[in-house]
Amino acid sequence: MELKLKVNYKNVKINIDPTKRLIDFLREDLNLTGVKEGCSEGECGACTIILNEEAVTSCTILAGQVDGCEIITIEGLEQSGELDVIQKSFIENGAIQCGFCTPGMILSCKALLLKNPNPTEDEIKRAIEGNLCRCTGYNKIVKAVKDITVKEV
Amino acid sequence: MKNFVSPKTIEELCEALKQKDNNTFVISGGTDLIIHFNKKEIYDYNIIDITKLEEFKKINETENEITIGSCVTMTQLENSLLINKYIPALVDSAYNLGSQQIRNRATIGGNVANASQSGDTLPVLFSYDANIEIINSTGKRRIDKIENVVEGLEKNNLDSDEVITKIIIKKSSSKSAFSKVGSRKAVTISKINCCAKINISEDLIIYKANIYLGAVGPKPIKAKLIEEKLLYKNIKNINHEDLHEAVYMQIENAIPNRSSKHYKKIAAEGLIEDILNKLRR
Repeated sequence: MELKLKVNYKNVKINIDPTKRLIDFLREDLNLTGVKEGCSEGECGACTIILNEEAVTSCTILAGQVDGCEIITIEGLEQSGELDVIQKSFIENGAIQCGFCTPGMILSCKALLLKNPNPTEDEIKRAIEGNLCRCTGYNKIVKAVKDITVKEV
Repeated sequence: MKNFVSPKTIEELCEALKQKDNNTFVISGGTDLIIHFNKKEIYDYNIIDITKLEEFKKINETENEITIGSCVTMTQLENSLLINKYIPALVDSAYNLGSQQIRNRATIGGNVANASQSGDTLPVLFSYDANIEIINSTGKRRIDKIENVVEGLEKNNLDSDEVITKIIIKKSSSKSAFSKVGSRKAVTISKINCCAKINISEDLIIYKANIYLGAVGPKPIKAKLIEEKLLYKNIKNINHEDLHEAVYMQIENAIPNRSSKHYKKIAAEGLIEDILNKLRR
């Protein structure tokens, strides 16, 4: 099937097996390896991407379903060599330990901030409920997001 | 050769359903189906993706009914003023389901069709005696009760060429609430869940009660014993000692041979208390 979509602000037209999972399509066909595979059942959030402005787990979507959609992966947050404010804030706050959950975690936060630029602490916690960090770095992650809310997203 | 179609109109959907074979799956949000494929190691299948049908993504209101398209997501339910006004328990159940990522994707039609014994919207739809509109490959639509559509244990009673188009709920002035218990606070599958839909008179007397418990059987069960205990009582003045017996008996009757019954009796008591607190607000 010929799939047409926008990935990280660029148009993509590609022939693929539409029954491939979205995570596999992004990693294997587009080489976007910032999309991490963890639990493969939508629970750990490592494979989170932004699909039409909403955070979703790419391991529970088929590639054929995103025809005509817009996707942002962690690779799309950096623009012209400049990191996104969320990425900067994660670095400044040490909100990264082993780094495996980081792309998904940042994209969940990005999706939250796109909808709600001034979230409360509870809203931040709710937005990242679906992202597991096994280094137990949640406090710094919440602080990283809170830091941004006083700045510009 | 794998076949993947995303119908955009009802005509295209019917055409796809005509071609459907035993190895063709209807997909909506995918949050259950794709995990099922992985667990069962199913790699070669055909797909009918119904998420591109605009008709299936809308919540509408008529004079007497609320209609919810089968592809309406949990996030949409949670944010809908209409649902909040007429079916508050459905907002509760959507709000507590999965994670943000799952709620953005999981659909109400998928929750019904998947018919999991712990499906969170199911006790709500049972309490509201929801009707399910179904279309087949010839374009013929029929309406059936939720309890006939959901068989339970991940089985539904749809024919192989049928798809759920919408959920229909009668408008009412009932109050309702949903609560669940899982093995952790968030992103958890219900070990037991419950929806209560009640009508209260001006002097706070419960004169109608429709209560369903989920995850204590293949599909939600009507909690008659608990309903009877609540009927004609003042909502502010419910004797918990009295309720205790009814809740324990209800679970005992539902799952007499399951070792989880001891845990579920205590959990159910907590759920009912939680729900009554919500209903008192």
